[in-house]
Amino acid sequence: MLLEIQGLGVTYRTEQGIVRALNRVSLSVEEKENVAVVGESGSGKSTLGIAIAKLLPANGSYTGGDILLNGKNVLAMNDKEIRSIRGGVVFMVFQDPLNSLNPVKKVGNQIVEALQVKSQREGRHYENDSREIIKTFENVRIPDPDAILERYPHELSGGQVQRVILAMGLLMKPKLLIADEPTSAVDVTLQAQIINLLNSLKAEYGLSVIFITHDISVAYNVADKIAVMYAGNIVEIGPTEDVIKSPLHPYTQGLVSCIPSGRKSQGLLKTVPGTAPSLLHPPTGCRYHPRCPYAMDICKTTDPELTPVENNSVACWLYPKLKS
Amino acid sequence: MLAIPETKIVNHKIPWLSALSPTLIKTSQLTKFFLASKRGLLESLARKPSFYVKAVDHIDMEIAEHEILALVGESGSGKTTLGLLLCTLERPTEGEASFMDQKIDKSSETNVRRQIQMVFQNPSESLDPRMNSRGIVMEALQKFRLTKAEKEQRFEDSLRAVGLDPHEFASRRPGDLSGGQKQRIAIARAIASNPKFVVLDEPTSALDASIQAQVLNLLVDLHEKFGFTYLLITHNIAVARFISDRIAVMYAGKLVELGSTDDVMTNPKHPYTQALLKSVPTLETRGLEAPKGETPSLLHPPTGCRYHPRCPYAMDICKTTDPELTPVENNSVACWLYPKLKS
Repeated sequence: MLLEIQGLGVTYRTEQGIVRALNRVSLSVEEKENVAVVGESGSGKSTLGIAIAKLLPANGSYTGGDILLNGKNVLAMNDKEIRSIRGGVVFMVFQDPLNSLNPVKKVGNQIVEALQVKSQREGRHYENDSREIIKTFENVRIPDPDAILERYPHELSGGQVQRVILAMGLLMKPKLLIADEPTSAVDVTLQAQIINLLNSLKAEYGLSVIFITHDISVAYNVADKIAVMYAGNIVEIGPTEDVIKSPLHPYTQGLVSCIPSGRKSQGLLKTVPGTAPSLLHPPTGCRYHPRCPYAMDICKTTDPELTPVENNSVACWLYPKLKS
Repeated sequence: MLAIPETKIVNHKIPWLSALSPTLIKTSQLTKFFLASKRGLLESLARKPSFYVKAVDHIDMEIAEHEILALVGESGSGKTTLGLLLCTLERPTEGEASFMDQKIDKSSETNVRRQIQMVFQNPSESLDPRMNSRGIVMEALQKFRLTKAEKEQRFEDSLRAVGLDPHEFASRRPGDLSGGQKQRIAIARAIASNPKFVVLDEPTSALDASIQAQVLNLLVDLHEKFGFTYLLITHNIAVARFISDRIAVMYAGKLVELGSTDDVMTNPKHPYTQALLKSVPTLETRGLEAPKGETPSLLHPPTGCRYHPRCPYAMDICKTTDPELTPVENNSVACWLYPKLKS
């Protein structure tokens, strides 16, 4: 097991009050596994990503749980230990890749700098090996790598920058790549290229990927396992085919069926009534109950635990196993 | 009351709708170039050449009354600029557009504008945060000769039409509304003046999947009730397929394929349309096929067919000569693969 998160809770202090962004979240990632975290805006999926690398903003705090990375508890680490993990063991790719590069430095120098820092932390001397960099650039299908290394970030297209970041990630040889909406800012043909790239690199580099996305169709094409988040909880998790083709949680069912897949002449789209709740004052019990067509009395009072049902794990009182 | 138009809405299953329903909008060689380089005194004295972004490049198309035409393409393909040209919010560099057989120019602009409305991508940006819903919708009626009572009635009708209670929402400001409610207010504002033509520029792209479904259903419902003509600009193929009667595909400022939604989706002719459809992730099957390369810069688009550097079937002629949009089976395609073009 590469990563094991157990009962993780995260809150943000805001002027309006305490936002409960993550509520007892448990998730495990095996080696060479692609896990997609799917959810709508405000479901806590990005918080989960940054919480793993201990990158919460100043107003965020952990309220419980453990994050075990290679068996070591990230939450118990001091700053120095954390720094040795960031970049080296866990590498993050953000939605807008241009923000991750320094605009006044050439791409090649930035990559060398990252590798130098990594070597220093590991107490090794870094030997500049441009052949390795160029080979990695070729692996992520960057055309004309020698020329790209000599350019500044603004001289590259969006797709090239995203690939430079990916190449940097691969050169750092992390165990876990956390990608937060890496394809939301790019076009659909480029998105397909990046998805295919991530799928092929998994085998080549022995990488595990946590892919955070709002687009359930992207998740279906990239992941081995899908975790569905709603209002700070993981409500369902399971193998990709099972979650998409036979979803168990009413929210997952709603999410899958509201994606347009036919023509309007075949009938209107199914909708999920209502809107996602504010995390300042989340509903009691199951947080989905105000929108759920099957809501029962117990849903209003008691929060269901994630429990195995068929091939998936689901947090819903509809499945009697939970009650026992 | 919002008037229900007299003309009956024609059958959506007939592919060439425009042949049966009167033409609402027609463009001929419609072109918009934006000056990309700053051009001051020094530049002109030095006789520096000017660069233009060829956003919309000689487009001929028609939109029939009551039809829903989806304009799909990737970012930078010129689809929003084409939408703005048809809304009279941009003036063409070359060519012209006509609205109900009336040429759109400076003199007819004001008149045409009364019959066109637009809904933008991000309702948080397109609604004035300091105005309440009533003010937002009523502002759109300022230029219409309506009494106060009529305007009030229009406000209530259009809010009910988008599924919001006018008494509850009248005094609410955008800040008090959810994303879906804000987009409903933006749609209410667009339909309050009972326009003939509504341009929807990525109306659901900023919304979550569950809210997107609600808004799409609402747009279908309004179209059936009031018979608006929609131009839906979107990069989301699934949305285009769900709602539209016809699909127009743009690539790098050019229209590359146009046809009924069923034909374009099931039997795409242009290599770009084929590649686009294979790149779209769906919930039906796993596995994507991506075309090589990226969309070209519109400052220096490739010569000939603009898709040729990425096209797996590129021939010599593609590199030199730009193909025209020509009927092939049920679609219209701009591609040298179809021999009809060469004759």
